[in-house]
Amino acid sequence: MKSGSAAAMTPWSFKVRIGGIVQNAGTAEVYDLGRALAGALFVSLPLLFTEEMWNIAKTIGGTTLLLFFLGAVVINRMLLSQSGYRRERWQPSLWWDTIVVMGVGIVASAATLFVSGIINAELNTYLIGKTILLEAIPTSMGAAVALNQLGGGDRLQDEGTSNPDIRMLVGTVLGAYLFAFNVAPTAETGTVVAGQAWWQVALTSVLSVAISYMVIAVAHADDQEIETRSIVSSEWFEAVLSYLVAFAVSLGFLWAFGYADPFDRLDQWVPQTIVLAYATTLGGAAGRLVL
Amino acid sequence: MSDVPTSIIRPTIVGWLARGTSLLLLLMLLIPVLQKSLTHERPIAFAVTRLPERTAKVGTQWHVAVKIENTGTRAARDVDLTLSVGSQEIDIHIDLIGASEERTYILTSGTRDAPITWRLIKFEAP
Repeated sequence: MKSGSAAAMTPWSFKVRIGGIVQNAGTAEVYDLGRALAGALFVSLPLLFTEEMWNIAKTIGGTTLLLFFLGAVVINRMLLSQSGYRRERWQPSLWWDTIVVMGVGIVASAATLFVSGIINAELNTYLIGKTILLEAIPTSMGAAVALNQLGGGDRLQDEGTSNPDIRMLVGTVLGAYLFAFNVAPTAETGTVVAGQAWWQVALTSVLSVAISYMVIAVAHADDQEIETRSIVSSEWFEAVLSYLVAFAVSLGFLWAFGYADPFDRLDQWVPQTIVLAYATTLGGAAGRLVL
Repeated sequence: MSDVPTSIIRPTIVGWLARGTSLLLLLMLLIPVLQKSLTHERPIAFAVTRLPERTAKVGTQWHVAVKIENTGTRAARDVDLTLSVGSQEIDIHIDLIGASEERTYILTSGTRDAPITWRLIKFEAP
């Protein structure tokens, strides 16, 4: 079926040109999946070996985990539109690719947790499922940005929107989400806050905005994108807006992991959110540069 | 070589296998969590059960296997309880035990069927 591309299944030996190289479609697909798996482990292996993640899997409520997981499906869909695991987007459905990166995340997480002895046949199946689902969130995100992690060029397709304001906001959210995941599950933000005076907490907040501004200024020295925007058209506004996004993402993580509750007293969750937002702000700024 | 727009190339068998497997894995993991979420919440409680199949004689002593399970739907922290096998009493501390999670302890006893009793001291509900 030489012109079988319109059929439900493309033959393995159907020739496609990927990255300037002519190869079998089946071979290209194996490479794509291999890249996704490598990206998944590259990003999330530290979290697979983080005890707090295993403990959060025990304490997190089923409904919270499901909401968190569904949020990750949407984030992965957005990441795939900006990065992805295929060297060239030679298949049409990004939603199917989203399902596949979730699957790759599950396989990579389950295999690593199993060979590490974190999950085993004697463990309760419900707990095994929760642990794998939780770990599969960052792991699948790694698969969704495999191209950026492992080389092959930055895609920056932005197929969803051409509005530079929204593109900036989406890049910030994705970068913040991706970066914060490496810090949010750990108990260290709480430890840092316990040793901080209020002026240090405030200074952390100021430092976060300053770093956000610095990254933005460096980025815009090389491009003129900010001039094409209609709303976020000043670097300071972008820095403050990015910080607010990072703060919201940080609070969401801390709530999901059971470290903070926005309905508690302010002093019980604001300092920890500010400390986590320091890392998240950097991720958001980097997200606009890298993704 | 393909002379059609790449955007309409369908997956090969590998692609379909990846899609099918991924979907299956997602359903296998999500459905049980969804089911548990929809069931009524049970308060944290513990069940202690003897495991005869894992009990063995080592020298002159019996190694008696005992399972402690959190039968509630929430995790418990800093669980302290006392287990007694025959005349022997031991204190057990568990840092964190998830919903439906089980822990197995081996206690030594002079007889295989020494009675097991237990007493919950305290726990913290996160």
